Amino acid sequence: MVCHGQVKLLDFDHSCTLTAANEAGERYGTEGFIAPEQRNGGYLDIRTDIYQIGALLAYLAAGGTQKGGLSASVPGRLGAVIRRCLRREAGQRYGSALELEEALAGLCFNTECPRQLRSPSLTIALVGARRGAGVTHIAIGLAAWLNRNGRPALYVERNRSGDVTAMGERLGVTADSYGILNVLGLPMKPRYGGAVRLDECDYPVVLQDCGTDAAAAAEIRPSAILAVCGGKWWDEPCLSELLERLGAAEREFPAGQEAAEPAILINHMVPGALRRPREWRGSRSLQVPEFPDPFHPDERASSFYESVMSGYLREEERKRRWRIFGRGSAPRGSRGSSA
Amino acid sequence: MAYFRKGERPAGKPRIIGVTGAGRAVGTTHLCVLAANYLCSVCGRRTAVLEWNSHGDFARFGSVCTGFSAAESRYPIQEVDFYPGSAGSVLADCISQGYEEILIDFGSLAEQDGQELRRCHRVLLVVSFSEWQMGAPGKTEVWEECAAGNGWLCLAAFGSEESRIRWNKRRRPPVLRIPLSEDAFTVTGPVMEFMRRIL
Repeated sequence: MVCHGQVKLLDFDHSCTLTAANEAGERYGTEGFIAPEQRNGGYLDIRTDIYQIGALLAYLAAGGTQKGGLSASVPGRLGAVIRRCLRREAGQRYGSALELEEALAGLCFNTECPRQLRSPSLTIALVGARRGAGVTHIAIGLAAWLNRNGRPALYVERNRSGDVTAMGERLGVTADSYGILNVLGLPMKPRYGGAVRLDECDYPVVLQDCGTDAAAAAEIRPSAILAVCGGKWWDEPCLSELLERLGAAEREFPAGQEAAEPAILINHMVPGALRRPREWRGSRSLQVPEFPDPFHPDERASSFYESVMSGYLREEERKRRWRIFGRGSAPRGSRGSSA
Repeated sequence: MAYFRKGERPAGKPRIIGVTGAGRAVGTTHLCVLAANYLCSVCGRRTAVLEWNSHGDFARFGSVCTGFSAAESRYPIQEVDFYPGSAGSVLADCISQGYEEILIDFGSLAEQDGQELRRCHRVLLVVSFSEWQMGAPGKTEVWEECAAGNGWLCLAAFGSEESRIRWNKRRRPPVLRIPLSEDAFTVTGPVMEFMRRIL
């Protein structure tokens, strides 16, 4: 179960006391997670649970069960912890949950670890060439598509429209302790002023709706910028101006820290209405299909969002594996070599 | 709860919220400033706070926070406009300037004649259950009659929680506890939840 991007484990189906667990009778377990003593009728104790925690950690880290022998593929200190949990002999595993917890906590004191495990991996800023370009509609649709495809995404309102607060009032929903509203199943955070201090909630993907504020879009140093413009012939100067403003904002940053070229999303396109000006070079452009309900993107919208996001998601997965495992091909712009 | 009554929101006009205290130093100004920051930073409403007493608190913290001088009539902090030492004409000006929420710090109840309070759409009365403070329950019945007769919402920041609970069981009007707030210019989660209920 995922709540605000945090995994919560449930399912205590066959849990029981130690005494009951060692009574004669049938034993149950899930293939790939069963400790050897469970299978061969041996004595069960806390170290049996330690084995299963190790099997679960291996599954989360490597994407497979012990049957596939994948625990050996988890490198580094995390892999060492997992392999100790999975020793055949119970006496060679961690002796208690506390001991295992301390071993796992020790991983988090590694200076490279906290950012790997906690920071949002992908921040995308959406900014429009002018009011009414459709930034909010597209941003909400993107958040809905990501959430429906297994990528928890948070929509953050960075403009002054007050739309999210209005939605909450209309639906009678209120913000949680993180200031986030659940609007038709979509986590949305309204714009808050400078007085508000709330705990931060990490999400794998964060979509920042910046309205028409190019400086705000650049200031948050996103992984990617999506520039939204209208597709009529009179929208062309607005888009050129937006790209100039984005470029000017990024020139304020030190060299090497600029975001990639923004992708241009053209809304309400009239074929042939827009020429491709010089400022567009290096940017890819996509036509936004018409879809009425951003909270429930249809097939055409889903296909569009897949085209928008596929490159970014692949790159973020590469970065994630590089940070955690230090192996595989280095993500673009990283230094050092794989382990 | 029966005593939560949402303040009326007149269409096209600002809501005027009066904040007064049963005595001095019960937390009236702190609550007023905190509520203003909630209405502005959380609800996104254009908010003004008027100091309608002679304490001089607004000028003091304006000077510290913004360098405010007596020559100016107002100053902003975190997008809330503060009007130190204001009078009726300032209220009329604020109404015409398009503010959506106007809070008035009336100081203590004893300093007011009550007429202006009755014109507010909503009144918050701050009391205290610290026995050594003026305005503590049992010391004066004035605030009890005013609050009960006019539907004011009574709140307490200081004093014994046991006393407050005992009061609510035996006396009227009931008094709500204001959550701990160390800084009137910071809105935390519990403050947001509380303000959402009373405003």
